[in-house]
Amino acid sequence: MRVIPWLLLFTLMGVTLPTLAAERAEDPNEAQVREIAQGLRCTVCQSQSLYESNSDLAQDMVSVIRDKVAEGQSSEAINKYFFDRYGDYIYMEPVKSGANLVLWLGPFVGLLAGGLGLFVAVRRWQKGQGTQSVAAKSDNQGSVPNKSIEAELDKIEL
Amino acid sequence: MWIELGHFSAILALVLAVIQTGTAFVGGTLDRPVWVRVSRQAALVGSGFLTLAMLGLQISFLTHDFSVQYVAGHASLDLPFFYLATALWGGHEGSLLLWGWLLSVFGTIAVFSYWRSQSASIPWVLVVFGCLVISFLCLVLFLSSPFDRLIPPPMDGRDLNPLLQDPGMVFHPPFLYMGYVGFAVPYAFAISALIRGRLDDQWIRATRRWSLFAWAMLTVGIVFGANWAYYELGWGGYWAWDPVENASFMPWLTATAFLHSVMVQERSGQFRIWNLMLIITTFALSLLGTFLVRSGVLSSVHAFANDPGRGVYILGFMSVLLLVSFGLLTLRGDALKSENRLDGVVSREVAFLFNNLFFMVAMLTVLLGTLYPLAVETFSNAKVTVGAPYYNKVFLPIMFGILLLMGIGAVIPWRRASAQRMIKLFRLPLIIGFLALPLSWYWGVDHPYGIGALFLILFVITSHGGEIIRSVRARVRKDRLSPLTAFVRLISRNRRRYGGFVVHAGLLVMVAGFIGSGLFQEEQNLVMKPGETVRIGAWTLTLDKIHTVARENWEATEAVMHAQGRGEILTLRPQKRVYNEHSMPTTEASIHTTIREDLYVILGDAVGDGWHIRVFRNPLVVWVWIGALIMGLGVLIAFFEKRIVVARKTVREAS
Amino acid sequence: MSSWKLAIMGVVLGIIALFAMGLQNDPRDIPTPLISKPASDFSEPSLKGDATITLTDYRGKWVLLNFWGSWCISCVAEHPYLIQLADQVKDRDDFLIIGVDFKDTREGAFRFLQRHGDPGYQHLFDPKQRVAIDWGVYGAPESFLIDPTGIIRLKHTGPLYPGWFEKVALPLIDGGAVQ
Repeated sequence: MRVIPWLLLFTLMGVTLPTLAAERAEDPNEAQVREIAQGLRCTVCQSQSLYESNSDLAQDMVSVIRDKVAEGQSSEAINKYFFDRYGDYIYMEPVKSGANLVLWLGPFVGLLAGGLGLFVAVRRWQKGQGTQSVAAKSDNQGSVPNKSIEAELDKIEL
Repeated sequence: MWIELGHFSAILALVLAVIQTGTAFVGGTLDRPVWVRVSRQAALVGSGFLTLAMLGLQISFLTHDFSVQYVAGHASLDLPFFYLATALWGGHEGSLLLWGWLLSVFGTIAVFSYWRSQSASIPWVLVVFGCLVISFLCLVLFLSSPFDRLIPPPMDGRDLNPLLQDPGMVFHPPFLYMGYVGFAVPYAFAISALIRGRLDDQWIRATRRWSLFAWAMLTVGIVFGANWAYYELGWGGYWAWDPVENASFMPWLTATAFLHSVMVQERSGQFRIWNLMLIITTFALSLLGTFLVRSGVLSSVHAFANDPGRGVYILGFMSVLLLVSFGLLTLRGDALKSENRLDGVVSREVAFLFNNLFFMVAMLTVLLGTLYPLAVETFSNAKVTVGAPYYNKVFLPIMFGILLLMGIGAVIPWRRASAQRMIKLFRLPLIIGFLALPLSWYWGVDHPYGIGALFLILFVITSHGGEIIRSVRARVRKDRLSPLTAFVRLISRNRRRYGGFVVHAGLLVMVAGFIGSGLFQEEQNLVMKPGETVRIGAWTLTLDKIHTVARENWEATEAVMHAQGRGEILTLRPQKRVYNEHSMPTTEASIHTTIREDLYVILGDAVGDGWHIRVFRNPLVVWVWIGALIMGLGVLIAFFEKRIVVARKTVREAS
Repeated sequence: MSSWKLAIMGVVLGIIALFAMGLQNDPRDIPTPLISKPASDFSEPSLKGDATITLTDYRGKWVLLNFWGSWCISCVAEHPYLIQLADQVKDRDDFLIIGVDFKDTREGAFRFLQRHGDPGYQHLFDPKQRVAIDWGVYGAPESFLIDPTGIIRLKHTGPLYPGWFEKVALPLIDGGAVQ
């Protein structure tokens, strides 16, 4: 039972240490460093951000960011510093201008156009069979057994 | 010796695949059943030989035969047995062999199980599988052979990549491949339907289980990958929108669309072409996934397994497959065209159509984001990155749309729904949904996405729950059953439908996990000395000491920390490991999981007399894994439905 | 042919073409935006520690700035050419080479120069790769050619190869500084 002494120790430490031990918190600048470094791509490790990468270069780049934040530089200035040196590649998130708008607008244009097209098509498919539509209506509002068949159908055949 | 046996078997399997394709082709075009029978036998014997090939390689691993180059590159004497036994797919060559083997085995199973019921399709299914197996075996045998010898053999192997020595990575590839290859079955039947130009919906009914199976495997495989990333990569997250992750996600999206839209075709024979396109796209995207991982055309964390030479071959293979499949689709399209008729604009059919629209747009978004950098690089001199922040921003609205449709589509009646019916169905879910506002105020959720997700989760749960309660009540009233019996009977008689409900529930649980961990992650990144503490959330962590630990094939610097909070005291041991055969250290995060949140600690480098430590509080991460389990359960329920019967007949039987 | 067929085949062909062309791209190469931009100045201690090297001191000359490190394998392949080039241009008064030894230790660098030969020109010592990052370097070896007015004229990623000077640098030098 190696656990018990440890538990005891930890309980003791738990009670006493928080008062004894120096409580640390991350540097107040770190949040800004994190925000910047998560938005910049590690140049050697492929599709990870600087902040998430363990590579030497990425970590040194993060420490450059740290120094610049400590100097009081703005996030925009720091982003631009890296952008000027590594180009568009460095931004995890492509800038919202020029050809990149295809990326940013494409999905929503696709949804909108697709939605409209689908709506028109659905209306056409529905209208394309005027008599049957009436039949369906009467089917739906028809006699009780008929109705229960419909209900049953709806349940069984997913 | 074993490896030669394996090699020889693989060559025989290739020869048999050629025979399989040839005889099936003759049998199919000239209508000669005997030839088809020969082809079937060739398929059976071929998969037997491929199994032997796998065995040969596997035995070489288990016996530490380092005279086999592939074994020497991916195993070592110190490699623990579990990883030794699974190192076969730890590299490029072995994974391709695994792909080929699964393809051959799945093909044979499909052919034997549909031999009688789908006899008209069988010759072409054999041809399609034969061609696929030939393509994969050529790749395995001529371009990336795992059977090559290494003379003189080294004393010890170079060991498996340390990143792959993780249970998540052991299970990730086989499940993913079973998913990819599983779609080959409906794909082959679809191609067969196109070649024959037959209008029937047979292939869809016949291959429903395969589609479900493949979808489930793909889901599980993707989640294993995410799990691996979370435990092994040590950056606090599980999904990075890496091109290779995207490659597995795209077929998942189209396959999900397919599983929904086939229901419309099964019911009323509509949208045939659309479904053919979906399944072809799904399988093509599965191959694209392999292409992306194996060719090195895109940069990614998975870049350790690439090779441009093979890339050219896989590109050729994929081009042929894409051109033939979509070419067939466009050539035969008109012949197969069904007349689309809809009874009502407000109906489940239409909800499914919009569901398909959203899934397609989702897939195209991921495809666009994955290919855009490639296009920019190819057509200009610049290089751009499309990273996680982009996908998170663009994908979330689409996902919300899908969730909303899920809440509507699963309960709205087929054919048409009257206004009263709609009010009856959705009044309560909407009211409950809007409880999200007070709830998020109570929980302190102030992010609009958080509130939106909460609304949708409540809405979908209530719409699904309401449907179950209504049906149970109807049965209780009609058959005078106890509610429990009625419930069990309801589920077991409509396993597919309620299995689907369970899958939806699992997805909701996952969404809660995504939102919790995505929006509310907290982090402390600092240098600590032994004895110092740091606070995160409700926890106080103390660094007790730093020491060294060792195992068979690695040595690690380990931090011993204890965390106090929520009435618990627990020990955390994050490590920085160096594997004997590799110089790059790997981080082993120490993770304490609770239902509420994960405490996730990473040990970094020594800085002065302190140590770099990153502590994350990841709320609700475990819900992602639980949600995946629930989804798996749902598929299992749906999978074991007795059989799909023609609707009218069932009604008559029931009444 | 109806429009949906054209659309499908168009997308399929487009993707195939994109991949075919994409196969020739190098996924690791990052194009630099620094060409034709003024070089970022530095004033850092030399590798031997006996001097401070300031880039602006060399205005009026073409400067080949070569980033390397003793940890870099391709640098070993490049090294013989650098030795040869240094010898070849030692009499030119309009061209010089400066090495930047980055992310390295002095001992490692000295051992490297001892083993593979010392080309004789000066090196900057940049252990925390501040200069390298300032120059947008992401690997080694990487080389920049700076013209006499202090404008970066080209960047070469990867080892310089025999004949590089005549083929690439001389035409630029003979063409003169920008404008």
